[in-house]
Amino acid sequence: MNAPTDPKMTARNVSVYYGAKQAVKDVSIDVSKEHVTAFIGPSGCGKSTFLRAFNRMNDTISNARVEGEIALDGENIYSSGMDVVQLRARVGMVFQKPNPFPKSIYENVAYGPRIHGLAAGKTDLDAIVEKSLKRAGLWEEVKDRLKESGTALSGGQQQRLCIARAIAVDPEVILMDEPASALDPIATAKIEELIHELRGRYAIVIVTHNMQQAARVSQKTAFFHLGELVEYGDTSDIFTNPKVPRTKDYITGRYG
Amino acid sequence: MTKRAPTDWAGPDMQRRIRKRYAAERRFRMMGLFAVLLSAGFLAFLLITIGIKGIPGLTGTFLTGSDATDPELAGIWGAFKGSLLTVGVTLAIAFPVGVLTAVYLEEYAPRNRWTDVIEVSINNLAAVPSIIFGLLGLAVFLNFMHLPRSAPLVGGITLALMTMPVIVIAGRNAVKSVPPSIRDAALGVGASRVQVVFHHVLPLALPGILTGTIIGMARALGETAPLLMIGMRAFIASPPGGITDPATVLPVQIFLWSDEVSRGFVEKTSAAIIVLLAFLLAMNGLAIYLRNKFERRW
Amino acid sequence: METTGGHTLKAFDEDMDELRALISEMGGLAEEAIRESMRCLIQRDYDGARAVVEADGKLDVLEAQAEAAVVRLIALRAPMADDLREAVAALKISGLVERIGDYAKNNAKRVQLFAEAGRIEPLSLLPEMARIAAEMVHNALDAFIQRDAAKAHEVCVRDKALDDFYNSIFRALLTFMMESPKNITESAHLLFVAKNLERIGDHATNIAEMVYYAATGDRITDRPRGHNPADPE
Repeated sequence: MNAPTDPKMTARNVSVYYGAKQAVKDVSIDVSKEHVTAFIGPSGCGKSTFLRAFNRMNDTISNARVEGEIALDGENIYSSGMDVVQLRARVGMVFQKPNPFPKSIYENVAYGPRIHGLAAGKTDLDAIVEKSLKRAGLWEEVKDRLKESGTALSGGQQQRLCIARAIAVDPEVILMDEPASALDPIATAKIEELIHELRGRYAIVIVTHNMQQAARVSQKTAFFHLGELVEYGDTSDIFTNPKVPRTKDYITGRYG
Repeated sequence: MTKRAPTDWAGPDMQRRIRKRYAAERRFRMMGLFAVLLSAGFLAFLLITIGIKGIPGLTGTFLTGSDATDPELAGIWGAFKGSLLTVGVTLAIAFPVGVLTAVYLEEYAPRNRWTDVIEVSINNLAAVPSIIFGLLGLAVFLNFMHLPRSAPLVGGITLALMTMPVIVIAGRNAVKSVPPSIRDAALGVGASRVQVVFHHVLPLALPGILTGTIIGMARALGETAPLLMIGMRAFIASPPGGITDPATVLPVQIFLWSDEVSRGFVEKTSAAIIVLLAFLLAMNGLAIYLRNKFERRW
Repeated sequence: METTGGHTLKAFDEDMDELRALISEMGGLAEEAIRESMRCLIQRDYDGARAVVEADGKLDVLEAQAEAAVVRLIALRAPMADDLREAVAALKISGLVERIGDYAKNNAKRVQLFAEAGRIEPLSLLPEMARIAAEMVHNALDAFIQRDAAKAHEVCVRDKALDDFYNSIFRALLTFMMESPKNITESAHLLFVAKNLERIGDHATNIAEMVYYAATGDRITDRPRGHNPADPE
């Protein structure tokens, strides 16, 4: 496996169980800031479950159990000494359906820094909000209406607001679970361009069921099937000359 | 595969169906209207009867004076203040306890046998006849704990026990109806469980909780039986000073006056009913105002 | 790597089959042109030669159709992995087959110029060369249809034989020209005919290389070549 040179997060032999059912089977992978990593695969293959293991969101599901080790900067995030709340600030998440808080645009972005004590005062907080909205490519569109409700924005804008919200706590990793699947093509393209701009500053992992999107947006691609990591490699290799027959079948549309 | 004949949407069979359908729609509208008019009619009848009998009795002495043996001097203020204090105690106890219980059961408690038992118990409590609570109040608060008889404190606690299940049920439903995406979003940004509950879930559940509280409080305000059991039935000549002074409440006062033989109290009874209804309306109105103020659309 | 089954979207399979059919048809026509032009040369059949020249027009039309089919396939089906490689290979192969047809046409044109020539010795070597060239084209296109990398490799190997043939004809014709100068014109034309056949073999090899790439995703690195007469001995 051609692993990236300095991985931000590493997963080793990770398995995730829902009760007796095993959703993720012994997966190992590295994630770094240099490359956007895409997880692709058919529905139910475990890619979203595996993604959620990276910020311990599976903890909220009562019968979920995680085995194996996932490390952030070398530290195992499942060890008893790891503070889950801080982990989730360092490893942010953007969800499939845009879910801004039913608060103002300003409050949406300011909430994270406020609860983690990242801003010294009002001016500091204003600066963080502005920077996050600018980085998410939303500032120009909302700078005159920060007090308006976040839910009044269009779908694509809401999703960018959610990305700004994730960025505001200065994470090291951003996990995206099918971020554009609920959006129209133009909004999707804006999100993809945004991901391109964020690369290098944050380690980004994106789960998508749209192969063309994975091809456009990522540099490394991992193909999942029935809970297993079937193939991992450079995106251009996976899509022009995959090594494993299952990967090829899925990518060329012969699956199912 | 056998071929289906193309459907004749304009034929006589279809026309008949259309007519029948329209008739069914009309029938339902008529029935609904009739039901509304019937209930409204009863209510109107009640209000008008009470109004005719009671409005002349809403004099200054009536509204500011306390109970007296002489019907000319009897006033409603004592009972009114008693109701106010009692309901105040009820709210102060039932609301926080009920809301916290609802939040704990929905957000924190594990799903096991014990929580199922608790859930069933609370649901059943809401249906227990109120007089049972009166007996409980008599046995525990008066006889065992020796709290002052006929005080709003005791009345309030008893009614709180009765109202709490209603608030818990309404609160749980309200919390359940907050979409999980909001919780996920908050958790994803690194909020702790407490922060998720207090910053996101409760504000969104508040309208539903307030609705349940309104229902509970309205019931408490109108309760007579349990308060009778704990002694709020005596003749009280002066309004209560605090929650430990003996007092009576509006529904009990109405009950006591309606029992009186003297004709002068008939008018007072109707007037008292009007006051009680007005109090209820005012409380409802306040709660609805609060609910609308906190309602957010997501 | 063998294909495990058809596409979920049947129209995709149909488009691929249509493309393969076009390439196949072009290959058949090109092969026919090679054989026919050689036959007309040997038998001095001027009408036959004219027919070959005209038939080349059909190849041009088919090449345009194949190109349009590939562009449509890429736009509408977004082919990936081996489907993509096959589409790109088809595009290049159609161009190569069209060029092969042009060489065969070029040979047919020279039949005119053999009107009064007497017997030319080296002429007897040419039919065998043409047979090999036509077979190479046939095998390369079969390999394409069957996505057979091994068969494609064989074609590349066979090119050496064709190159060796060309070298011996070259030397034989040079000798002949020096011996009987009055036949220089015809000999010169025969040199071109031989060269055309050698170029056909090279193009067949290029087709085979594309087929190998489409099937495996790798390029053939070792290609045995015959000695190039331009190189110093």
